[in-house]
Amino acid sequence: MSKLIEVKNLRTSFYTEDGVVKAVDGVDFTVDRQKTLGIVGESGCGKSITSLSIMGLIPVPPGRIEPGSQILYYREEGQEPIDLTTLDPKGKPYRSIRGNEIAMIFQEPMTSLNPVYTIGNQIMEAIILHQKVNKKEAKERAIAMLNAVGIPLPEQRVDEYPHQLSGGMRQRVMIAMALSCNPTLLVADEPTTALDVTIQAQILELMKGLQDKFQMSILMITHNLGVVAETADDVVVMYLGKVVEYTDVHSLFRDPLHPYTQGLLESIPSMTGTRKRLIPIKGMVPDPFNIPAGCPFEPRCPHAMEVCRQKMPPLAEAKSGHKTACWLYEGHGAGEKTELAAAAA
Amino acid sequence: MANTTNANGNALLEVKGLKKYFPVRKGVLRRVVAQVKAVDDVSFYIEKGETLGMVGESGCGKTTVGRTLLRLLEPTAGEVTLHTQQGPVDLFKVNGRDLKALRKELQIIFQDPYSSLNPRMTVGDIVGEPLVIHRIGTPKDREGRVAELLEAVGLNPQYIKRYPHEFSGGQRQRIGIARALALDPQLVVCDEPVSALDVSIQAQVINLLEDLQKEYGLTFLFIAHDLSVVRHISKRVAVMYLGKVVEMANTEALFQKPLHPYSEALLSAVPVPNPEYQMERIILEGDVPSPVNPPSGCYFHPRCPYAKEKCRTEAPVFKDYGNRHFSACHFTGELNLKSVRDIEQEREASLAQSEAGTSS
Repeated sequence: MSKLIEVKNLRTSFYTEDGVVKAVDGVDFTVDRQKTLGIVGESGCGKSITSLSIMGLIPVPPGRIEPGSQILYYREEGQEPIDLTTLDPKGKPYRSIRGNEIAMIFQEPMTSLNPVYTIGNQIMEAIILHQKVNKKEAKERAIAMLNAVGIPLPEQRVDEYPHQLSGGMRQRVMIAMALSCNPTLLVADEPTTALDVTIQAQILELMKGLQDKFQMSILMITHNLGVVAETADDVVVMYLGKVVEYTDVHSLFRDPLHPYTQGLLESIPSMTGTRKRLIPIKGMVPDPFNIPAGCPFEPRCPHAMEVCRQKMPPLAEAKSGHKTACWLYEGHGAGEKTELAAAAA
Repeated sequence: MANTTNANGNALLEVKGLKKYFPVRKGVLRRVVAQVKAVDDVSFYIEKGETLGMVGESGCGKTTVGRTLLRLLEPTAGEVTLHTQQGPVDLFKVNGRDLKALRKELQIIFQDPYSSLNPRMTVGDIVGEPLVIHRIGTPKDREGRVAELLEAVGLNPQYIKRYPHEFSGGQRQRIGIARALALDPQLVVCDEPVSALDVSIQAQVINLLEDLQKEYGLTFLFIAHDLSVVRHISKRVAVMYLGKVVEMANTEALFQKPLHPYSEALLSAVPVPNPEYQMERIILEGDVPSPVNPPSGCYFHPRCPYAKEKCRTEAPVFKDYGNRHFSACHFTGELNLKSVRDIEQEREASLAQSEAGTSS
């Protein structure tokens, strides 16, 4: 399988008056061609900042991608990758990639469209900017895109304004805009969070179909474990700027290794099983200015040990192809592992 | 009209034919040109000590039902009977002092813990305000009561002098819950109380609500769009679509054997956090129609995969199909609708079959 994007030791910080927030703190993952990587985590875990770092949309200042971070973009298979962190986010090379080869859709379809331009104009803007076409061709392309995302009567809809469309339709327009230049990577930041379940099902189905049609990779950022289970091939679980677990979607749900992942899965009520009391994760996410010294999850972890307070565990393979950052699996005897397995069972 | 009155006779609240229309005004004279039928002839009941879940998509009128019950919005029509210790009272017929006294029995927890607390008031003032309004106790008594309430919702009573911004979302929601409980109410309308919270915090608040319900004998109207949360907390569930209740049943009955096609689609649309069980979904076409101009006949017919001619012309009646399982569909009983569990079992069977096929 060939890589499309490889993120290595990505660290993005914000220098505010109150101190430094390490929003993303040493993140590694790979997005393979035509696959979907899910990034899951709760608010403040750095999943959106990770996606904005790839897009080159971090506001500088106060934000900064720290030296040593790498975002390798394998533009052509078998050729040298481009390190996006070395490009000027406002420079021409980055702008030829952003919105063209790497496109993004945002959570809020209500606010991410411009209310004073027709949707056709907004889709055409990207097409004209990145491709050598005239206005007429661009409009035809826009209509074709609206058709591809399942908007009825695209010839009429193309001249409508965002307020004339429902939330689900607006998200379809966002997707049409993102896909209009045939990107190799689509970054989807909580694309269905603002939508109702029946509309969410429509949009997820649409994205799956379009992924095959356009042969693109998707970086799916969400807090919803159901959406991850449904869409992703591989999953990164983030907590406070760090990757705590990274594996394929089946291993993650069948055999979650990190206590945080286990806690998340136990906190969601089931749709089918017997109804029993939920097991929440105790406490709350620490203040980002005061991240614990060792493992960031240690204050909330039911298995915390002395070593967890001292040192952050590295992200390493605990099982074949299944990485986690937890001392329970790292350099300790089999004793703890069986204990944890017993606790999980 | 279906008989939605409570047969056991231990209903705390009975709602009959509730309507709430919002006028649409246009032009210089602000003439009323149309009505938004946010709640359109809704009937249900809530038994003492139970949780009735109310689900539906945005714009279906579930929040308006909650607010109208509390008289935070004035109803257009209908009758709501609250069975108090002094006997039944029609909530829509009382006014002035009597209404104020009744408000002690009816409280609400709001969705957004960020905008429902006044940022200029301390936690003590926020939680104690209902006591001040109803002139309960001396200032000293009130302080004691506030400390007690904070403790009950799992907050440190020493936080009494702090301001809302010093708390996280989950803690703020606890403050909102403490405020709702201050007057020892009978019925609490929980309007999406956990929707704005992260999963790990959501579970804490759900457990807290369940504990408080047991301890204080509370009755909840639990309004939410998250079906797994509603399934977890509710004894019975009402499903709303475009201002109407389309189905109402015991939670297990609804999730195992839905009678209305909309409930079937809604249940199947929820993404399941299990990659092995990715099932065939019923994907509804199109969007929810506008409540200003609802479709003819059954409001659901333009999106319903089973719609027939009758559905286009005739509005179905909301009636009991046994065991107080209510549904508003012409073809309830004729349709063999699938529950999440049916789909899951099918999936499991086909998985087993394919495994057997590959091993043999």
